[in-house]
Parts: sequence; C-alpha cells; structure tokens
Amino acid sequence: MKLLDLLFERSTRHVADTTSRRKLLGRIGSLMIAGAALPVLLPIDRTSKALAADKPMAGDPGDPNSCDYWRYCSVDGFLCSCCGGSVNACPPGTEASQVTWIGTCRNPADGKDYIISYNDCCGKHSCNQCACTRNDSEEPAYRPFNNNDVNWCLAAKSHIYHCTVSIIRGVAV
Amino acid sequence: MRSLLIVGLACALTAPLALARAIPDPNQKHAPGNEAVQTPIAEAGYSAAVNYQLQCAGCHLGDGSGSRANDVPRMKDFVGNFLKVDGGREFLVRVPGMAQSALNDEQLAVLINWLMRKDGIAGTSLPEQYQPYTGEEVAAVRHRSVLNVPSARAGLIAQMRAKGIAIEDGMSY
Repeated sequence: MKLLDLLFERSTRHVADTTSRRKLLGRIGSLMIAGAALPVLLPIDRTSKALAADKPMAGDPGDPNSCDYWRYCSVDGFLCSCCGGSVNACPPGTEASQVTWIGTCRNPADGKDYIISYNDCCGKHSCNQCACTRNDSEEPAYRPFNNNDVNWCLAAKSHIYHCTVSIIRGVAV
Repeated sequence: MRSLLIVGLACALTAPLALARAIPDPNQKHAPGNEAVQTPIAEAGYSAAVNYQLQCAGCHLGDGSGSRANDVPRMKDFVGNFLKVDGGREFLVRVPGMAQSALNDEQLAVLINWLMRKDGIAGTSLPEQYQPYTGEEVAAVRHRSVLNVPSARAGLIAQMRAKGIAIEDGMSY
C-alpha cells in the first residue's frame, strides 16, 4: 500500500513539475481545431455521398430501397439497393450476369417509358432483403427471354442468385 | 430432437424461395406512374433499335456479340452470312428468337432490315446484294416452326464452311 502511495505521489509531482496548465489548455484547444478541420482537409472520397440516390430527385422520384420505386415495375427478386449494392450496382463479392431480360417502366416524373434491364447479381446466397415482385412488362414463360421467373444467373460464373439491379438503358421511343 | 432439426433445416432452406415468391402480393398496388396496363410491344410503335433492346439484346447483348457460355450465337459481323446460303433467309425468320418474339410481322421485317446494315450488327457479313424483308415475306414463313433448331443451324453452317466463309459465330463446336 505504501509502495503504491509513493509511486503515485512521485508520478503526480513529476507531471506537476514538468508541465504547465496553460500549455495543456493550449494543446487541447489546438487539437480541437485540428480535429474539426481534419475531415474537411483530408482527401476523402466523397463521390459516393454525392451520387447516393437516397433523397427523391425531381427527375427520378421515389425511394430505391422500396418496392414502390418506379424502376421496379417488373422486378422479381431481392432489391440490390437493400443488399449492399445500389439500384444499378451489384453488392461487393457478386458478379453481374451479362445475359438478362429487358423491359420498360414509366417514369412518373416525365411520363416517358424507359428501357430497364433487370440484371441478376450472382455468386452469394440469396440476399433475402426487400423481396419485390412486379410483373408489368413481363411476358409468359413461353417467351423465356422476357420472363422474370428465369434465374438469369445462368450466364454468370456462379448460378447462385443474390439480388437484382434495375439499369436504365434508354428511353423507349 | 432430430426431427426438430430436420424441420428447422427445411424451413431455413425454403424461406428464401418463399420470400421471393413468384406470385405478387394480392394487396400490392402498381408502382407510382405505372398503374395503367402497358401497351403490348406489337402495338407500341417503338423504333427498331428499341425493339432490338426489348426483344433481343438481353441475350445477344447490345452490340450483338452474344454469349458463348450460354450458347447465344454471335450476330455481330456474322448474321449476314445466313443470307449467302440456301434456306438461310427463311431460317432467320423461323429461328425461335425471331418467330416467337412479341413483334408483329411488319416490325419483325423492319428489325431484320435494321440488323442487315453495313454500319449495323450484320456489318462486314452483309452480302453485296441485299433484298430487304417485307412483312408479307415474314408472315409467309414465320409460323412454320423449325423442329430441330441445332441441326437446321448446323446444316447452314456446313454450307457456309463449304463456301469458305469463316465461322465466327462465337459458338463452341
């Protein structure tokens, strides 16, 4: 007990002898300013934030994480935007199937029909988030090339289905 | 204990399939802006380029390069060779992707003529003398289905080989 007492007394006296309170306050002050400025000054990639489509925009209304988003008018599966990807990008660790099926959806912002490609992302087990089934421009299974019940991972290296993206390929005119 | 485990495992295996059910939720409303039933492609009056995207590009890809892994033949710089052999002109209309597409006879004729351009998908394979397809010509042969597509195709490819045409259709023989 006495030994501990001695140790702490010596160390506190040493700190008190070698440092000043004013210096400490000054240090804390500059650290706070530098800390606040650091995230602004550092070269952090902010493009993802700038491109994030989480807020409804005038030309592209709706929430891509909801099955009610207009581009999902013919989707059948799990939405990649809920699975770590986005409305038009596969989540990390999955491969987009190049062969796919293509339909149209009407954008409520301008009333035009857009060509939408429903590519599947493959190679990981089912994502199981945001299941969404809409069949507006789907055609029956006797036209398999326009059917959304097909596992379009048939063209990817792994045939295991993870989720589906909805990519705009142009305006249907 | 074992039966519980088996039931649990069965539930875990079927859950993803049940969630991504093929039948839409009966209470589901249409996506905003997509309430109206879509106009069938045969009546929509889209351009040939849009019809190509909606009916062909999913598998043959945007530039017609196809997908060897899925036995989707390459059309880019090759499809015109079918017009240089006996029965090839008819085959292009009767092949399932064309004959069973959602396009009407007139649209299908326009689409094939759109493919058969020097600056189009037929590209360098286009014959010197190209006689455009008409809706009547398509209507006359479209409904006679090809009973054995691979062997009919192989016959045409053999004719091309005999004529010294390089077989660059992306298929593995």
